[in-house]
Amino acid sequence: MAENEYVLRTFNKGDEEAVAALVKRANADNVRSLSGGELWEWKYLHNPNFDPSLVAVAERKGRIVGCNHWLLRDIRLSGSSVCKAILCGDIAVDPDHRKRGLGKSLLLFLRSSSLSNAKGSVLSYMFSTPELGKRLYGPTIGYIQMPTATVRYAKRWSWKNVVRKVNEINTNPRQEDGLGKRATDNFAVVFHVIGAPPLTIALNGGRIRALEESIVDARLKITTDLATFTALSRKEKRVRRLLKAMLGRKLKVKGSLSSIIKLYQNLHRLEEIFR
Amino acid sequence: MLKNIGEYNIRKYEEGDETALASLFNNVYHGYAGFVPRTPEYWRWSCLDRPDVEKEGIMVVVNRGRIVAYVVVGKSGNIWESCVDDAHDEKALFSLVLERAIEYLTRVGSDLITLNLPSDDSVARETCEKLGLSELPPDVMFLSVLDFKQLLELLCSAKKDKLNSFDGDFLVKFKDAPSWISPFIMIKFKNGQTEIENENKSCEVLIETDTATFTSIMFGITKPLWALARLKLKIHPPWKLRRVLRLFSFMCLDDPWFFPRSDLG
Repeated sequence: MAENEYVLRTFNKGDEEAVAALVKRANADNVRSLSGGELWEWKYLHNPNFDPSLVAVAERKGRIVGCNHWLLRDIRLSGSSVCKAILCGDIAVDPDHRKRGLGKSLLLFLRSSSLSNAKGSVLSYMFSTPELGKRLYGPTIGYIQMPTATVRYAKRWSWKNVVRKVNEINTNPRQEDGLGKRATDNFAVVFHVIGAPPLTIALNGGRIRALEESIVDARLKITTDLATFTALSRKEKRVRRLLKAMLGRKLKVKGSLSSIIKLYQNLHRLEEIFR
Repeated sequence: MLKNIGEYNIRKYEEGDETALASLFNNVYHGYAGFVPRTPEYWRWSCLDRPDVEKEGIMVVVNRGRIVAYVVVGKSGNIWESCVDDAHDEKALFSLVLERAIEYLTRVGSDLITLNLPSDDSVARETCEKLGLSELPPDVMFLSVLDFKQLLELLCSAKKDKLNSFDGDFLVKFKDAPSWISPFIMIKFKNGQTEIENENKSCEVLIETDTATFTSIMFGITKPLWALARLKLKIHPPWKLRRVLRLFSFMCLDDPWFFPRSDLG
């Protein structure tokens, strides 16, 4: 990161609107319309533990282009020992300023300042995907991946929101959705996710269709469980995960080799739908 | 099926419930590491004021005027918190609140349900599986120590009984300490007293390591012998190895970490 391009500082009164807008913009890939200002205001401004001095922002030419939120909490360690710990909340970097180490610099800015010591915090922790964690919170900053006794359960009984998302993408396509690419593709895949109704995704030129049913002439059928399906929707190490799931018989693919290749070529579209 | 079902009443959240709900949460989860104690104010912010939660999404089970179970469901499909008093029929109550949660989510147009459970809660896990929920990869936690002196003081006080018989001085030297972490920590045990200082003094045993390895050992992730074999940990003089291993085994944290979805940030 070219240090002189960016000014790192703590949050000031008056930054609220710019920071909330940035978090919304930076999270647009994950939650198209959920991460609005209302969510940010609730999560930080209305939080009983919110401390503005534990929020760092990066400015470029007077505009906030990055932010990192820390929240101070009391957590139990062992027996009756309770300590102050910092939960690292949203790290957001404007899409135009990514891949310049700004996220890491913001994290280091808060860690290396005397702020966390002044607050008496013993630990810093956060939740993330393993891939992002290894990249961002890697050994250079001294974070370790911590196994927990937390298990996650889920059930899907319909694809209503996937259908809604597809309609939204069709009405409001973004450049990075790749809808302009491979506009000649005509291709349909049926997902049979155990415990959920069948879902057909059909690519027809530049348009996508999602149907909560199995269409007979689909060129490709994928049968899997919800855990494998969720893991495959993530971009990182997907090919490795795909092969592992197939070898472990957790994923069954029925279709010609050419349709499998076509699916692979269109993964970026499915990724946007299932995110 | 819940026995004496007539004694249990399921209703939506009512103004003033938060004190009992926070207290139930604290009773159920206080044994886990990472537990964030709830005050009525914190519970109100964390559950009731959450943007995707409406009062109908907070279902409360009452038995003889006492709240014995509750679930907080967000329209996004997340079960932010779920609690059942283990003095009651956990299987039946958890099944009841979960079924109601799914009914509610279907009604508000959600198409999935997600919740976190402690891995040692076999009753809740069985109930989930019975209702057709599948286990998914969990959210991954990353942790870093900001103040080793304070951490060791806390661990020594939590493990006081075990450390009472311990005597001797240990100097921990971090090879990679950044400017904001002291590169030396002295741990002194004498007559049942423990003293921890950020200083470099000659002592009986020198433990040389890096911050990540030391953190991993203290949180029970890495075995000290494995760190030694990988040259991530050095002990001087080497014949004090058994003593250092004993110290680590006494001090390291072994409590399971659990986070409900409302604590993920």
